[in-house]
Amino acid sequence: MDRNEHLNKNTIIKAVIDGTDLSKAEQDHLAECGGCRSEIDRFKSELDTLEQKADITAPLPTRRPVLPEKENYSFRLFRPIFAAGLTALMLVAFIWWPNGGIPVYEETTAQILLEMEADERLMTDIEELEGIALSGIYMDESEETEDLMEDEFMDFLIPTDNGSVI
Amino acid sequence: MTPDRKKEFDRTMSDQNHQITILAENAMAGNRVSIEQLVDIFHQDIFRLVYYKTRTRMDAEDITQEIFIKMMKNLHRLKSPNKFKSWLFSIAYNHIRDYFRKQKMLGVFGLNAGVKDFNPEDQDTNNPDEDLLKKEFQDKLFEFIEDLSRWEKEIFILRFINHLKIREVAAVLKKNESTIKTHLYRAIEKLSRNNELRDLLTGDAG
Repeated sequence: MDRNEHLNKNTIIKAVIDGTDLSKAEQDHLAECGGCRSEIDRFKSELDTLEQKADITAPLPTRRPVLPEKENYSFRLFRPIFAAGLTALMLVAFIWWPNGGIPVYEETTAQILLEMEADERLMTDIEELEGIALSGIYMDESEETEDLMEDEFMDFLIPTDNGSVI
Repeated sequence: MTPDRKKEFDRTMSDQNHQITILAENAMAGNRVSIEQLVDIFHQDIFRLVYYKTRTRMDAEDITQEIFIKMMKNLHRLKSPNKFKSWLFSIAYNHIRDYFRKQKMLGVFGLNAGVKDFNPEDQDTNNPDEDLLKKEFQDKLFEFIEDLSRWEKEIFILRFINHLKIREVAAVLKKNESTIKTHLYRAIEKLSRNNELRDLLTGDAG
């Protein structure tokens, strides 16, 4: 830049942030130019005011942070050892426990026999239902028994005195 | 700032940094008093950072509390005591990011209340005129910050709300200084075009 040329806005901002970042020519100009120096001072002063106002307008905390009592150093030192010990204990218990501690349901012979009887009863019921699809109540209402049907029919065909078939 | 005032300011800052380094060293060794002193020094700064990000006092106070508990639990991880300030702000920055992630997750299930608006009751004065001016400034500032890109926003808050140096901002965000300067340049350039906010800074408003 020309030594006699005033600093532009961008250079002024650069100077506000850090004057040492200016080029040699810019620094030389600044050393001689009161106008540019006062422009930088004016900008710096605005930023100082911003800092002060930001301080004033921010509320003050109503309480001071309260720090907890310091953790017991000996416990902090032994905490990894304690954790490792506990893990090892749990591992041993897991291996030692039957079935790894998982509960298993054990059936007794009596229980098996009872279950077999129940199964047999169920199968009998199913077989009966296969023969007579309707339940007893519906059978009474819907049809008569086979024996009764046969006697009445024979009596109708060959009537007898006492009503019995010869 | 005159050169004399700047020298005095730098000397004070240097003394303060030295004091913080010593306190951090003691805190790392488990000295409870030093830890409490560090809380005293930084809790307002951290609260301000959280407040400008969450915009509610209640959330800011809860998160600030959590940040200091995290600080205490992780002191043994601090590598150099002279970097305590950047380290603490890194914890704060990450914790706030986690908070917003959780809020976002809750938002997916419709469980959060969304982004809260600035509450005028959060301000401390009983002077209605002053409250109005504060609210106007804060509204404009929030509006301006909201319009910045993600990194411009983070860097602008750390630099101008929390008064961190560029070197410290770079350490907090784990980025190099030139990247920080680039984003800061863009943010300031946007500020230079925001006449409403600038009028409030120069006292030309109204």
